[in-house]
Amino acid sequence: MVSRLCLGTMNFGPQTDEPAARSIMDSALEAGINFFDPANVYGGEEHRGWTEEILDRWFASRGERIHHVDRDTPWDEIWQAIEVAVQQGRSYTPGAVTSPAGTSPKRRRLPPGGATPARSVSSPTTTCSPARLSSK
Amino acid sequence: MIPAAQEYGLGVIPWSPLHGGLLGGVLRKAGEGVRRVEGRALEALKVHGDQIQQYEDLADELGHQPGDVALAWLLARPALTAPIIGPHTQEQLDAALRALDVELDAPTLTRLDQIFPGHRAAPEDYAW
Repeated sequence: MVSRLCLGTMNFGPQTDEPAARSIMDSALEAGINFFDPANVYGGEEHRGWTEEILDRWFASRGERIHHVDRDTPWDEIWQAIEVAVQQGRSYTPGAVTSPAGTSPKRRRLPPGGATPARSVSSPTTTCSPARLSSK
Repeated sequence: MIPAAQEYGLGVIPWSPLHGGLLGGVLRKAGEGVRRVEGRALEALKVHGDQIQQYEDLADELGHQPGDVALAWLLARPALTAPIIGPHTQEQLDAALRALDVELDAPTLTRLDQIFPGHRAAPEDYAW
């Protein structure tokens, strides 16, 4: 399940300095927010990617990493790998990390009843990633 | 879009839930000199100033911060997975977390709909 709020990180870097950003991420996670929104363009025109650099260092300091989708890998194969990771307890919040529009998984995992998905795994947009795709 | 998302079991993840501060008490803060109105909030305020005033009055009456009312309203929408908040500061994060505990009763939701009528269901809204 993703949290009821998604932490947008757009301001981290240009508006919010790294120590403050880290402190916000720490308290967000502590408050139960497990859903972060990064983007490779965040950071401002002068420093594209700045935000993800901050996130990357924050993840690394926690012994975790951000994973990106390999566009040459078929979605079926990605799903299998995610399922294995979940079964082995290595991952608990799979999510589409900036999956480009139009390349989202064809086989969507919809929850029973089809209401709000418990996981935002297959968003066909370019946002949305849970905070931790895998640990260690 | 939203009924379609519900039908297909897709989550909706709206960004900028306060529209650059427009729904976060923009008039009050400008009045108190706390924050200048700028950017998207300023543009929208030129068009929706009366509505924003009514909305902030309603929040006052309820004893809530305007931003809390906006987030609480969104959180109560069907099909919505999670709004993307964009805090600059710890205080803004704390405010967003506080909104998780705000519940708006039916009369309040009705008054919000009166202030911001929104759209009717398609195709009636545009077809006839």
